[in-house]
Amino acid sequence: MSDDLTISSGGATTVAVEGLFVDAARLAAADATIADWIARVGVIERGLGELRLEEPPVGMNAMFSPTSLLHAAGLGFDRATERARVLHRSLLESAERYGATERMIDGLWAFGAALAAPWIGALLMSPAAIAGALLVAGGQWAGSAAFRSIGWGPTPLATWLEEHRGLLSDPAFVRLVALAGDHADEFAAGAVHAPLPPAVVRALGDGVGAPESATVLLGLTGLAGLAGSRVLVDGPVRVERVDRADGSAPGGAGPSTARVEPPKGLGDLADRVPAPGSNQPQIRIERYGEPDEPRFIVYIGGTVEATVVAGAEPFDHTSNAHGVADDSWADALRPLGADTGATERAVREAMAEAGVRPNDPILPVGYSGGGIVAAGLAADPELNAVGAVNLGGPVASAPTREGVGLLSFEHDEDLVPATGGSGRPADERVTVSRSVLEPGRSYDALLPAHELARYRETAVLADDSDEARLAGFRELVADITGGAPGERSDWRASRDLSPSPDER
Amino acid sequence: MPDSDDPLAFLARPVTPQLVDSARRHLMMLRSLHEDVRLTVPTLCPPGTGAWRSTAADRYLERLEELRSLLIRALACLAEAEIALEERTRRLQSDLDAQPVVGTGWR
Repeated sequence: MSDDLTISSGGATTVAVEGLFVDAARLAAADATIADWIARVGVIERGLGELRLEEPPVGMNAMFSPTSLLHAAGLGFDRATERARVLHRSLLESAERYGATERMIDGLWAFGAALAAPWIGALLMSPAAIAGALLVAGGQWAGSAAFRSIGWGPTPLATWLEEHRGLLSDPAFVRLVALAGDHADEFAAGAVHAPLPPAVVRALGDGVGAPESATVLLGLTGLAGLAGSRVLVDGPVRVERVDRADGSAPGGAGPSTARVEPPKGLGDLADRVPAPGSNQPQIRIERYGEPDEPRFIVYIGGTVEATVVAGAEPFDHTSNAHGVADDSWADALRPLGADTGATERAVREAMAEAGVRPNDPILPVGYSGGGIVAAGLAADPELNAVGAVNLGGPVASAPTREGVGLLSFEHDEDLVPATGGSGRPADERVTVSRSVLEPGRSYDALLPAHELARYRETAVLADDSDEARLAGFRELVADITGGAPGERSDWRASRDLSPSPDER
Repeated sequence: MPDSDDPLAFLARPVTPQLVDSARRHLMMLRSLHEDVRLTVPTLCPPGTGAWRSTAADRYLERLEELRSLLIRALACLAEAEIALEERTRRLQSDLDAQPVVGTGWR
């Protein structure tokens, strides 16, 4: 656990702790300031030279002439500016080396995963492995029933998993998950014993990441959906405005809005993202600016139901899977299922009802699955997003739009961002990572590093940073609010589970 | 007017009101620069908190300290230059005051 932030840019080659970038920026500013002093010293020195004020020393105060002392000051500033430049360059080179090391390690992991995935796939799908897995699963099921019936509690396997839940928050495991998302295709090729040479499988793997894997998965579940399955089969959504964050329906004549103070920075943005909760509003929209030139901040909550079977709650894993899949070009080819996740459709509908027009500036902020939607809105050329903030969502593979920054907070021990794969380079994506768990300590939550409260803490730390890119995002917040109070509205989305007209 | 005992007096300009004004103007420019530098130097460099622990980080802190020392030495030179120029301007003014006023007594 640390308060140090590590910042990386998707398209840049530098990765470093936030303090390093801050120091580099200060040294660059120092260089410019000293250069200005050197110029001013030069003007005074030349002016005094033209006045020919030199004279022999008289008394202690005139041991050196003003011009010779000014010359000495100028030389000192010359050396100082050179030193500041060298230090600035050294820091950036250090960040480059850090980035290169990270990329090398990532590359080695990816290479190993690409080599191992077909073998693992083939091995796990061998008759012996299938029989073994069935035996283990059957044993676990039977053992669990037996243990429960005689009051012994969970089986040793279940107990082991409970005792080792920290594994889910191990950064190495998190990295494995990211690789698994990227190499599911190689795994599948191995599993079905596809007669493809390893080089071809690897070449295919480079173009197939987590979004493409999710697309294939949704294609398969879409087929199962024809037989009535609702596993990962999304459906229509509707949204309604609610009066307050308690989820109560609007009272009186028509929906109400509440006056809200402008957020002062990234910490305030994170603080206003709706916390996941049953029957609570999942979307909050704040309107700023003049009536004829409004600007909006759209807050999108995270996953409420951790289920893959689509239910009335649209903020679930079915919607998340669609949200990751629609980051892929291949998703447009999928003949079955919804085109976008229910969450994104709900947010767009809420935005429309809140009066957001295509050209109105918006700043979407999303947590977890809401982060996927925030990234999607930022990349949409038909909207006028000025930026987006993601808190723990899997957006590494999400497309970005030129000039629209995506600030992504991703904790080192958080499994969820890793499910988006290792990602693709993009200049617009700035990732802020931080270690938030103490090694060896056990936590009550299954995924403690993914908790919204911890992301709120990290966002507050980012507010304290002078790093230029973080300062740029804070300026975006100030630009969109104009520093004046706005109007808030809360929205609750639900999935329509009624049969489609064709099914009736 | 140059001191007649000064062997290098021929190098200096005759003291005129314009010369004194120019010297004073340059003194004001130097004062302004000195003030800017004095106020800026303490916060110009990164503080070097030592948050990173490595040999390279230690070397970085040493270099930062050297940068600060260079700036402080340059600041000291500016301070001395300001004192020297004040002194020189004062003497120029004295020399000017000592000159007979041309045209006085005319009615």
